[in-house]
This record gives sequence, C-alpha cells and structure tokens, in this order.
Amino acid sequence: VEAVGLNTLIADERDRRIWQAVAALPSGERTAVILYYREEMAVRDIAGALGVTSGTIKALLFRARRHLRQRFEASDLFQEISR
Amino acid sequence: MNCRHVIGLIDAGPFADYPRQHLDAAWAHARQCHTCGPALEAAAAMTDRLRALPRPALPRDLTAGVLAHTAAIEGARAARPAPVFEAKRRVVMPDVSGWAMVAGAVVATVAITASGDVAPGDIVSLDRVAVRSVVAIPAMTPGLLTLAAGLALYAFGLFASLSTQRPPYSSTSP
Repeated sequence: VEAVGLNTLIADERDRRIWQAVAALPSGERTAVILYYREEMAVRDIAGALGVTSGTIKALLFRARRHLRQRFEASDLFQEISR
Repeated sequence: MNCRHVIGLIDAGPFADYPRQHLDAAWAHARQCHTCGPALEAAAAMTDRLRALPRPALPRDLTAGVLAHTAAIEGARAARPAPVFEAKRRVVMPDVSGWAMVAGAVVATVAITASGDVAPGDIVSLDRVAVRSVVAIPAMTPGLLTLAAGLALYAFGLFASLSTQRPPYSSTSP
C-alpha cells in the first residue's frame, strides 16, 4: 500500500511539473498545446476556434514542442518522465 | 541530413510535411546520433506525458455556484422595471391631395371658360415667340391669376398624393 501511495505521489508531482512547463509557455503555444494534447482537438478545429489558419496552429505546436523539449532536456524532468 | 534538420523534424512531430522515406531516414539517424537521440526520446516521452495528463477535477461547489450566479442574474433582471417605450408622436395630416386636385381643376376650367379671350386656334404672341393656342386662354390679369392659382392647386394635389405613397421596396418590418 505504501509503494502504491508513493508511486501516486511521484506521478502527481511529475504531472504537476509538466503542467508548470506547459503553463510557462507563451500564451498562443500554451493554448495550442492544451487544446491539441489535452482536449484532443484536431488542428483544423483549433484553427477554427481561434480564428487562425491551420498553418499557424502547426507553427505554434512546433515551437511549443521545441520549448518543452529543450526545457525537459535541460532539467531532470526528462529523466523523471522517462521512467 | 544534419542534426539541425533532424531536430527540427523531431520538434515538428506529426506535422513534419516530408515523405515517409525521408522521415524514416531521419529517425534512423536520430537513433544512432548522440545529439539527436536524446532529443527524440525527450520529444516522445513528452508527447506521451502530455497526452496522459489527467484532467483536473471540477470543484465540488461548481454546480451550486453556477446555479446561484444564474439565480442572482435572473432575480436582478426580474426586479428591474421593464423599459417603457414611448410611441413616437406623429402628426397626422388629413389627406387633402384629392380635394386639391379637384379644386385646382375646377378653378382652372372656370378661368378658361369664363374668360374666352383667346379661343383655341388663335395665335398668341409671347414676347418674340408666336404660338398657336390649344385651349382658350384668358387675356386679362384676374383671369390669368385665377388660371395660375387653379393650376398650382392642381399641381399641389398631384405631387402631394405622390409624396404620400410608399416606395414598393420599403418595408415596415424591423
């Protein structure tokens, strides 16, 4: 029971730090990431909702992925989420 | 294919618009490269974690809060006195156009028939122009004034009736 509780705590802490990384993104990138990965919306639907083109959303997601990856690689968060 | 290009493809992820063979070659390069390999692993792990992030639970009192807020808005709306729209006053003028036309025609006819100074077919000299009269025209000033007044009254009635008609494309609906 203690091991399960510990794993839950670790997972919660890991999610919290990922959320922090997402929250630190610029506004447009953060919106695109949340709608695409968390809400599982299609790029075309996100573009329609935000009133921009699909290319703009792809560019925002590209930059967001690069920022998150660089942040993950620079910190120990990458090691944590790879477990 | 250099590392910068491969890392760009890694960051683009599913949006990398390249042929399948090109992407396969890039991933093969990344798996053997000490620079691109960690980037590929980080991107894959990050994508998986982003997709697996739990949705935050809604606050327990969210429903009660929304209902209370809605009730407050409805209460404020019900307590507010209904706006009173005053009808715009319109000055309704009696339609005299028909009577004006009839009266003008009668006056003009009386002026023409009563005078009879110039009969139809007579030559009338107006300054330097001589024209043949079609109708009888009074030659005296009172007769001419009466004729002019009758024609003016007739014209007033005619244009007044035209101006009160609505154009066919106008609509009274808002």
